[in-house]
Amino acid sequence: MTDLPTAVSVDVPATPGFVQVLRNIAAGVAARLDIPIDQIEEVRLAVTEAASLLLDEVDATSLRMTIGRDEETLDVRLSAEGHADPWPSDRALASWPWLVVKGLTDEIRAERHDGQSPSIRFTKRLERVRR
Amino acid sequence: MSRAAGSSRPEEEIAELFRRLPDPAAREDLAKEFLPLAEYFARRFSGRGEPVDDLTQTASLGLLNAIDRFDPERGVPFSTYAAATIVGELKRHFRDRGWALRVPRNVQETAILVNRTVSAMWQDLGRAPTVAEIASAADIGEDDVLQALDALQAYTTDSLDAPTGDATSTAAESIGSEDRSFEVSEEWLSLAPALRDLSERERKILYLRFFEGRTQTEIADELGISQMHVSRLVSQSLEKLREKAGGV
Repeated sequence: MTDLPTAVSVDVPATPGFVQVLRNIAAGVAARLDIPIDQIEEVRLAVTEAASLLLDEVDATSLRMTIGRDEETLDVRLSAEGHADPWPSDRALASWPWLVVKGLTDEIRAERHDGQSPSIRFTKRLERVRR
Repeated sequence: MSRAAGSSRPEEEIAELFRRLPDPAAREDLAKEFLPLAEYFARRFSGRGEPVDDLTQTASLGLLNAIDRFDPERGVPFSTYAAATIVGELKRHFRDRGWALRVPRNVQETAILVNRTVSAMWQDLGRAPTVAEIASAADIGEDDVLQALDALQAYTTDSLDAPTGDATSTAAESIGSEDRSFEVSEEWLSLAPALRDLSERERKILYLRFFEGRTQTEIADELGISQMHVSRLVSQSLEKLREKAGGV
């Protein structure tokens, strides 16, 4: 596991088309991080839902996705470059995408990255895989 | 003397025909005798955009394969064995047709290999394999595995997938016939109005997974289907929901 990168980060324009790109990148990165394929699929779905929720809620120009892993967890943060107040809104926390991301991951938080950008962060506990 | 299942003739006569194989006359006689079985399954798979004639031909091919491969010593009635073979042939037909439109032949072949490898490994390991593990087991590159997984995701027609124990009933049917209590949860439906546009089975899978917070393993056990299949059904239903809602 020593050759694994600690984190991979990517910026895309805040449009639905680029959400598609993000989720494919997420799946590719998760695969390279040696994660079982059912969990890769869940990460891909969670990224889709979380990014879509950000597009719905935030007047954003771009989205940044950061994926990192350590021995036991995979950590994904999606943050929107843009404005939303309040963040998170009650509507966001009661929405379908939020429910889905919650169901697909072990922990989910809505926060402001660097005290500013509305972001959704989720983690997945990883099943132990030995190479 | 009792009649053979799926046939109007006595078991002993059918058994005699099998003993005479590979005599072409006996083979033809058997094919004629069980043709209604092939036609029955061809009709079952109709209404999905393929001409019934093509389906009948495919089902008949499955029947002939079944006749050639049947082993009476096994104690399984021929009709049971033939049904499984015919359904398998029909599914393969749909799979090839569906793929032919958008997936290059070499990717299709890799995808079939990857699909088989994943099923076997999932069973052996008791969990889903990683891309690296699949690549090493199938002796292909990791990029090929990723490409194959994408292709599999794109093609899976869940209505044709994963027969449960009995070859003639699909997982879809057995899920649909379960309790309907989840149908009445207005609170849940109001979260995503497009849920109403999904099939009952798709709604149920999503309900169990995201409203009741069940794990894939639990759902797989409850519905009597594989984890791999649950995983695919969840993905497909979510994707469909996004499409219906006009989203990403």
